[in-house]
Amino acid sequence: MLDIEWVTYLVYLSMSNQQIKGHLEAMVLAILESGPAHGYSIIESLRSESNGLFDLPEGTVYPALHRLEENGLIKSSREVVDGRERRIYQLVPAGLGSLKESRAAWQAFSSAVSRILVVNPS
Amino acid sequence: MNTIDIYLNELDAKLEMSQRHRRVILNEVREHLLDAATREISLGAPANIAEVNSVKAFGSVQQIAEGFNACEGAKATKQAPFITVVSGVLVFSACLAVAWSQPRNSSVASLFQQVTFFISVLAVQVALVSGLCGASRICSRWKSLESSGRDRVYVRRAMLISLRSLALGVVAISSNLLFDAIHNKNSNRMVIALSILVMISVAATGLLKLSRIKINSLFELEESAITPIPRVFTLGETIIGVIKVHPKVSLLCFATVAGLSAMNKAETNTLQQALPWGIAEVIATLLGFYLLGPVLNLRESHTDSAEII
Repeated sequence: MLDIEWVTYLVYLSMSNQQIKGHLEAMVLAILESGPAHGYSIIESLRSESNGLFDLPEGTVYPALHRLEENGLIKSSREVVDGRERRIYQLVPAGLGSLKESRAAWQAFSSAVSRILVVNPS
Repeated sequence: MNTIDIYLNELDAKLEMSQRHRRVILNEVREHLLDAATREISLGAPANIAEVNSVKAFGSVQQIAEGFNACEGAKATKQAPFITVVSGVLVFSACLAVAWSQPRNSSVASLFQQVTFFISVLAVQVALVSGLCGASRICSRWKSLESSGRDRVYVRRAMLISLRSLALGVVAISSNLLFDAIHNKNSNRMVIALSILVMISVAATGLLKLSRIKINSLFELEESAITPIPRVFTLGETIIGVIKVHPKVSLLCFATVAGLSAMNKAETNTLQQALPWGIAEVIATLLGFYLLGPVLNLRESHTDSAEII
């Protein structure tokens, strides 16, 4: 019998990089929900949270961050850490709203797939 | 020059945006690559290998530039209709200023004035239709974070047609006004001269700004995810869809309304005198739909000519 975690895992595995990119913004918002972070640490979190499942080039996260900022879902500020200037990203209320929408959409999608795969295992 | 600097130089050459924005991006990428290299070194890798690995993990220059350029293009796409609308409103305001400032003239307009006025009206109609087509596409993708290259090509094409038509309309109405200024002694020549100057400057500036906007980069995303949006935002696209499914019925309706409207607005005394203008408007509508229909995605094309503009 397949459980929900396995179904979610299978859904991820069946996704191409392009499809993962479609969810990248929502995942970045989810990471920023726990607090402000700079690009490198966001990528580290993505890698560790997904157990290395996402095989996206690290650089693809930066255009996503710029898109989110352009659309007013996050904001950035400059900070000097250890003598080096860093750009820190932070979630704003509009981004939190968008994250809630993305979560609801993903839950609806994954539970629909789960129902089909779990109820009708081949 | 080390591997990171070479990578940054290559990326710099492929980024299509302002220098200030490019600098922000390159600084951020440099910081990332240095962080990644430092991490590799802390795990025991030699410095040169660490740099190569950090660049490799970051992604190809082409792929990263594509992502940033698409983001910049999406922003520019939203600016395009703004430029078109501002140009249209300013030209229309200048026309209104002339109309209000001129003394009432009861004599019938000359053929030259009728023809130039007719051309300007046609040009404005084309500008309006193509502008609405482009704006509809933008509205339907308003909440999407990323716009596909295909959408951006369409919006740029529609807006360029719109502004070129507006420019043609400006030339036609300017000729009309100049004719009036020369032949009508009572005309307010100062207002006419000022309005012509404003209209030509606005149309030229709008066209120049729009043609310089970098909506499309060398590397395009063919498709992108579309975020669901309230129906009111997709109303324009729905209407375009209906026109595309029923082109003959739609064209018949448009041509009838346009023809009757032209006859009503023609500065003539009898129905017989107004009829040629009505017929000319119907022919122009049919011709416009035939030529611009595939380009603006209002009807299916049998050739690939729609992709040429």
